[in-house]
Amino acid sequence: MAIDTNLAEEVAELEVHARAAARDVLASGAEGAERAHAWSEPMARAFAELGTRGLWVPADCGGDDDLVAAVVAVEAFATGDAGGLLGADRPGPAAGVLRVLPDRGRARALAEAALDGGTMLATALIDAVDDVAAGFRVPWAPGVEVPHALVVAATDGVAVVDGGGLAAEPASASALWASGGVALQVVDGDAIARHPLDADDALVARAVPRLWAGAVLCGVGQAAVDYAVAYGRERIVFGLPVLGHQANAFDVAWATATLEAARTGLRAAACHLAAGRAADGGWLATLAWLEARDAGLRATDLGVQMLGGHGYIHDHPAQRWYREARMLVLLFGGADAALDDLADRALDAPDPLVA
Amino acid sequence: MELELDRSTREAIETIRGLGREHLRPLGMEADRLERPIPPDHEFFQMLVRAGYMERGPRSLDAAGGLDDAAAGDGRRTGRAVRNVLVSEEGAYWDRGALVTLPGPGLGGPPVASMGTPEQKARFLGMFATRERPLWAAFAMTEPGAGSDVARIQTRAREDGDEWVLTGQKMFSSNSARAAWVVVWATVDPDAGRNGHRAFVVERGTPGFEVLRVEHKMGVRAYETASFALDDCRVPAANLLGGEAYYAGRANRGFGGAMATFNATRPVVAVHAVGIARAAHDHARDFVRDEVPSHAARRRRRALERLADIRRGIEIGRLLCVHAAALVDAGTPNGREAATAKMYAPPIARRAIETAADILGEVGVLRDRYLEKLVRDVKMLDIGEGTQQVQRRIVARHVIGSDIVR
Repeated sequence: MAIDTNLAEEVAELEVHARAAARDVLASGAEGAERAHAWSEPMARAFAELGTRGLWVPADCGGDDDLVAAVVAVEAFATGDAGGLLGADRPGPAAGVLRVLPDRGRARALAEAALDGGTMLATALIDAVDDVAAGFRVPWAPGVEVPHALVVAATDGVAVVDGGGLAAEPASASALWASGGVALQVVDGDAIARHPLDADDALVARAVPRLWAGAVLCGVGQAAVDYAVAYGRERIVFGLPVLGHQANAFDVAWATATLEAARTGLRAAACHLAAGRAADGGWLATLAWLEARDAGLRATDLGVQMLGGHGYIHDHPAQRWYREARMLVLLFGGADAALDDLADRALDAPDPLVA
Repeated sequence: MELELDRSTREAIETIRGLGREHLRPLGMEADRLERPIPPDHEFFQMLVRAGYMERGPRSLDAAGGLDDAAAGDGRRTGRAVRNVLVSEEGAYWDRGALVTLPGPGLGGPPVASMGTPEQKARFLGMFATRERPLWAAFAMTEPGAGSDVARIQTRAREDGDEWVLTGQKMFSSNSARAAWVVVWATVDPDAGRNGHRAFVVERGTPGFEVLRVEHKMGVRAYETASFALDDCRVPAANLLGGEAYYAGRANRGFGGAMATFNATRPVVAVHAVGIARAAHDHARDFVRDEVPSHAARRRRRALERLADIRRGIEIGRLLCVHAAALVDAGTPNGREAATAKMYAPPIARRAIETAADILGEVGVLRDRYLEKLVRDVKMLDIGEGTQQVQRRIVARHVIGSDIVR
């Protein structure tokens, strides 16, 4: 037992490799992938070769079960291109339900199919598990094809919906096109399985998608800041580089600090979840997701602002990161669902480092 | 990455919690009401010293890095810097002002521990391993004409035989009026900028060292913040921190020593803000739980959401402080992370207190005045140990480059 927030050596190495792949392969292909509504073959291969899919998946489902590494890797990838991650990172966000699904055989089957790469799992967050029957719409679910199954994380349990009961509809989202650009409509709400869970386990199912989306937001935000810094060091305004003006430099400092804050929270939450501390991890992941939301929105706004008019046009990627952040914050119930989950626990929430 | 409290850290937190509940908060409230620091001869300090506190407490020799790590006996051990952060948060939770007035090397300890020769460490830190009387040490950098821009300090150091002669004025130095010694930063050549900086240990009673006044502050009144003059104050050459060899051969070594001190202490000062925020949160949480009726559903729900938002700042802020300290324990440079923690935590604490005050309302705030005190206390943390703007500048220089951000 100890308190140590430094990354393990192998995780730090993974981050270096993932950032290199993001820089060398994903970033250069991002604009084209958005137009094509899919990652190019080299982009998909670069992602697959790093072998990070299993990091999200519990060991008894055939995965590597290393959530800290998973969060680190997905953020690193997102610095290159977040647009295709929702489609490519299988099971990714769905791994929250896989962690707590009481039917372990079904969890294993879903995970194995997803890890094989051919089967997609969409993820939805709803209020009550019985609401599955009423049907609902899942925004920006991945893939052009209808997923094999939809896993559902509610405040009181989890459910699995057969892909046959889903219809894909074109979605007029403003970003994440490289994941397919569709929405899913649950037209036949008959779930394959519905399982009530205690509040802590139910929160784990909702926390993992938030970890995933929060990490992607941090990656997108970091990419926007890095690009703005490179631009702002060179572009001269009023006789100084853009970032030689303290007002601009301080904005960059604050954006960087809040990204670091969100990143630290997400990794700590992943650490708690990986250690089986469901209440601590679920609570902190939800807090950190809100932090990542604000940090990602702020950083990508700055990313456009530092470039001025150039940030608004398609000659530079700042506008894409701006759009992506504003779509990512709406995933998995967005801020309102997170705040609801937190408010429910506000009087007796855990505080694991306070003894 | 590990986030599970070990036994010794848990026990240290619980010890300061007991001390805080019984002593720190009542003494802090009293000092605030009387508008004067807790006097150095207060029986509370005597009691602490007799109990061996100066060796192991959060402002102690141990926290300054002056003691060797002992074997934990329970596997991996939380590093000294991280443990100090967590224990300091708990102390600040009960009263930040009273915490800072606790005996020990305080902010004077880290520069001696990091820059001092073995003889200096034994001489100046070793004195705290006593159970006889309370002792304090202090750190003095800021001057009337040099606050955030510490490279501009004007206090002169002139070598004269086997002595150094110090002349100048220092201000905003915590506990310096009662300190057994003060680490004083001076320059051998104001035109040399950072390269001229040297650190000296000035001992109590040295002729020419004169306390000018103890400041009358808006908050955190339990500890003294003093100004003092150095009027041809002669200190032996042996009191030049690190000795001549420390400064030879490398530019800006003295200034670098000061910055290294800040990198070690900023996570601790930043986490004081987290402790204060947690105190405000708990005040508001108890109010919501006990006094907002369940039939006031809209008000209650809104308060719960606002409590959750306070918790977000607390937990993320704490993690930033812990991470900056974990880098210290790992021997990894942490200038950016320490500044990030110090930049982030005070504003979230201020917002936490303002939100808690909103939840309690005027009647709730004025009932025991504790939250009202926190409103005043918290602002110090955005100023001391480097202002909000200094932290932003440090982070900006790391991210953008010191060639662009001047």
